Amino acid sequence: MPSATGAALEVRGLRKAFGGVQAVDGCTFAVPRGQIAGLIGPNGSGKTTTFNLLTGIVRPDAGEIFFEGANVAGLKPYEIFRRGITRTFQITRVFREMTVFENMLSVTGLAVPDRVARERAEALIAFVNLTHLRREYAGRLSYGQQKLLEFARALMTDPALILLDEPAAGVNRTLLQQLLEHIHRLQAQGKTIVIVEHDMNVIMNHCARIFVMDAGAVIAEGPPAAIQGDERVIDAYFGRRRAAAARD
Amino acid sequence: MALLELRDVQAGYGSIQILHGVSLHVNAGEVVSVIGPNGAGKSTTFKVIMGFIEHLGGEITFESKSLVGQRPDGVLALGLGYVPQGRVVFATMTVRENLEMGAYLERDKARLAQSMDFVYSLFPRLYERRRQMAGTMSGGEQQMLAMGRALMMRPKMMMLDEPSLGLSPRFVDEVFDKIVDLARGGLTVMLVEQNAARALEISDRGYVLELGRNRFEGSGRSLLDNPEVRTMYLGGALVN
Repeated sequence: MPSATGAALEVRGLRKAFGGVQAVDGCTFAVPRGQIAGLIGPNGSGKTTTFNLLTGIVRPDAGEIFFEGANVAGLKPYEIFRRGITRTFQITRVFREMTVFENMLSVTGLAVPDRVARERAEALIAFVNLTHLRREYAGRLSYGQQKLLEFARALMTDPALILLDEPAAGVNRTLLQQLLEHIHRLQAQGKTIVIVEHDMNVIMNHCARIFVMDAGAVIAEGPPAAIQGDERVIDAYFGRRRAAAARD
Repeated sequence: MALLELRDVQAGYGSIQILHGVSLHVNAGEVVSVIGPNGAGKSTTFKVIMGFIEHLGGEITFESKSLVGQRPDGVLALGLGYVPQGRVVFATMTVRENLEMGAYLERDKARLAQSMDFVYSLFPRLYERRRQMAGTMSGGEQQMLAMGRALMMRPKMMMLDEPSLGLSPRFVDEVFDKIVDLARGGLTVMLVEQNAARALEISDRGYVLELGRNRFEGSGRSLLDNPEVRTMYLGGALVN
């Protein structure tokens, strides 16, 4: 059943094991339409695997992913992508030996004429302030600029839901500030954005709602101030003493 | 006199500087934890001590000898053992072969055999599994093997990077118990841990790093009980 709550994305009971490791273990959450949400949690809590499940890179063992009224769990990555979910990666994946502009046009399956795609590419390059580098090889950009390029490329399909995996990692303060402004502009256009990020300043100051994962499941959700004061969340990050851990 | 001492150490990867001046010391016989949120520079601190990454400034000494400019094999030979993050064992080698790799600097066959016996006595399970391929063992057993391998050079001090990461609760207990055993046996230990509570619980002292700098230090107990240390993991004040 599609959600009646107006959520852009609704995940229910998602599970994925790799060998003996239960990476995602009954993950359930709903992201309201048009919000910037944060997905956080300690190392190994299942955040990136969840993104891989949402984008079809990894097939779930169980669970449902409702997007735009349909369960997209188990669909192929390109099918999910064409329905309007896009992502960026922790470590940028741009084509280093293609120019900035060529990278933008490398996105396949655009249901628009070539001329429109080119115009859109130009507009998005301008959106992330890379116009002066449009003919430069992507491999020659700084790491932060490559992140901006990957971000712009992710917007080529005019997606409704944008998943950003550690956008702040390895990016200097100035470029990070730019990236955050772009994210807020997208939100103003009605897009839904989910950010996985370790930089708590980014999460706490830019996300309206935060979902906290631990051991493959969402253990808490709420606005930043509530999350910062939540003992379960603090325990997830700081660990628990042996006696306390043994009591569960 | 500290066994290991870092003064204002700076280090990083390529153009990205991670450590902006870290100072700490470990006395002989101590268990010392280094904790802090992601990106604090915990693993980087270990890597610069071992000579894996570029040292950009500051001083690192082990038994008063500078480690700056030393290669990892030189650091090992001085008596500093290292257990990397993620249980990096040679998957297609047997347990025994993995242990032999840990002593690749050892030329004396008799000493190597002694070390092997010593490690088997500490980890009876490794003896039972000595002919098994390391890649077929559980995560907890692989962690024990990585520790045993680091002990093959009979180090004075051992550094463990995230020994509990990704282990089931039972193996987390076992790994921490084993660290306590080793420390009681006289080994000096420094560990980096995500599970700060468990690490501080077994530590004489601890250092809390944040964004490549020292933030707090004190006894394991005092850091455990410090609410500021607990909450720093979730970031500072909200701008709004």
